[in-house]
Amino acid sequence: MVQKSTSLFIERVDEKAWLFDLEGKPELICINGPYINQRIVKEMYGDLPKDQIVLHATPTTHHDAHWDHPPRRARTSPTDGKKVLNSKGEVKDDCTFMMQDDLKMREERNGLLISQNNTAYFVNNEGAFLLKLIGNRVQVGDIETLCEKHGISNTAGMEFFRRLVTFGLYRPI
Amino acid sequence: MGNTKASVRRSKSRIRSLPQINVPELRAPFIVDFEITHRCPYKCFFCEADVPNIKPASELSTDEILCILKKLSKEEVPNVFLTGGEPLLRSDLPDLIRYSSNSGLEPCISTTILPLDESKLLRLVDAGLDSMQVSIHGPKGIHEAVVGSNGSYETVMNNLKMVVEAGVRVEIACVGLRENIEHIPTLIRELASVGVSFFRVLRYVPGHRKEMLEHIPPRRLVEKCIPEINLAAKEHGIELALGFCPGTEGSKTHLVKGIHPVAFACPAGKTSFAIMPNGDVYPCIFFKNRPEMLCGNILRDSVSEVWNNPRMVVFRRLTPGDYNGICGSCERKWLCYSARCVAYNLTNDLYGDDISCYIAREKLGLEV
Repeated sequence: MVQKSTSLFIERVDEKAWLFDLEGKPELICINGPYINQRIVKEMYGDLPKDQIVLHATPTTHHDAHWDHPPRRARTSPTDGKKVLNSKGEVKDDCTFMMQDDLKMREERNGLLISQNNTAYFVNNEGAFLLKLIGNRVQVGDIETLCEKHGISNTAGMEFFRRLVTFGLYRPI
Repeated sequence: MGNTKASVRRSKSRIRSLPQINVPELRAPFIVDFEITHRCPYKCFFCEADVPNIKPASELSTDEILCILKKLSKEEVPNVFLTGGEPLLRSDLPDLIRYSSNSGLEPCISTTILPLDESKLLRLVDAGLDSMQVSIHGPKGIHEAVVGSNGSYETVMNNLKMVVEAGVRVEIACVGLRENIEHIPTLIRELASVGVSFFRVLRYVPGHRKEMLEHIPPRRLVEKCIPEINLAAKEHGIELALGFCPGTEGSKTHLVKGIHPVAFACPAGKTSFAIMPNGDVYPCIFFKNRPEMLCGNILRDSVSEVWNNPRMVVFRRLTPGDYNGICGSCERKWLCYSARCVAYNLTNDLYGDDISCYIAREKLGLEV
């Protein structure tokens, strides 16, 4: 069963935030996404008082000049991620998630590049392995079983899955 | 490039000493910015197509561009952004869109929309174009002054209405300047009347010459205008993304776990590169007038050769830990779009100060 995340945000962005685990546990990280941070915050919290989160006055939330495409089609809403991340209740083990059908995957030397329109994610080899196990359709309860069967930390496996859902790469059906 | 090699050595040393790496190094770009022409009906003073010390680039033929698109597709590059200049001035644009769409390149264009008509639009939509970025820099008088094209605004708004009605998704890109910042709320209201739903203020990057610094919007003016821009967008249900120079007071980005700070940093050489109308490749459009930054020609060279050119790799491995001076000691540097093109083109130091940043400017005694 998926437990509520303790915090959506990185507490302190410093040099450590630039580090990325290539091996050891499944990892997925967004490496290009002009809108994804803003959209997740907005979807998760809606309008907050400006002294708490200034959603729009963020000089770093875009790339300059022509670097970004407009969202190609209605973007995947991470709203469904609330069910996993922020719900008052729980996500039941029999809740089924499906992979979005507009994802592109490209093999990389140390993992996998997942692209969804103008947003890019890098998945390390352990993550790519787990992703293959999860497949296009999965029940929450199956993830724990898959992790146990293949010697993957259940905590790390669920955190990986949480990210897939947060970013809208998988959504509940 | 000054102390480039020393910085790369430092970065490599640090990377080797840790079980992690700083940024995943891709085997090919994620996005390619392809300037297919430098011809343009506008004469924007800030445009990177109008830079000093650059010779007019000859344009590739249709077959040559298709050959390049084929190379990008073969390397599984997910996105190509056809820009310029004004891409609509190329009569073969629908063919380029169609080929890109059919080969998985997810094409998008950046356009003034000025030379568009219904026939062209139908051909583009038929070819697979479903999104575009349109440059509009203010309400009528302001826009026309910025782009140097009298009478263009009305045509642009009429064409915009036609595009929206055709179901093409539009992002309006407005460069935030001293000259237009106060007029952006008015522009947003006018855009709402033709059905635009996404508006974006691009951070002005004075990337080529020091005189361009004069057009940076004053920080206090930006801070005064941001709530007004937000309000106008909210009133009309327009989604908004704002970009201004780093150092705007009160701006704080809350970084969601799972998003690498590099997603907020300059993508040059890390996830993208830029192709010029003659096929020359640079890490970013803002280096096109710097021959020492040329990384090859995509018509002649393979994607891999260009992507792994040592100059491109310098950018790929560049992190805020390599910065010098004010940027190097700035506590915000780990989550900042510090424009290296500004540092390099205006201070001759790739690792030096981004003197378009309010923080750096304040410390240097420059106007903020």
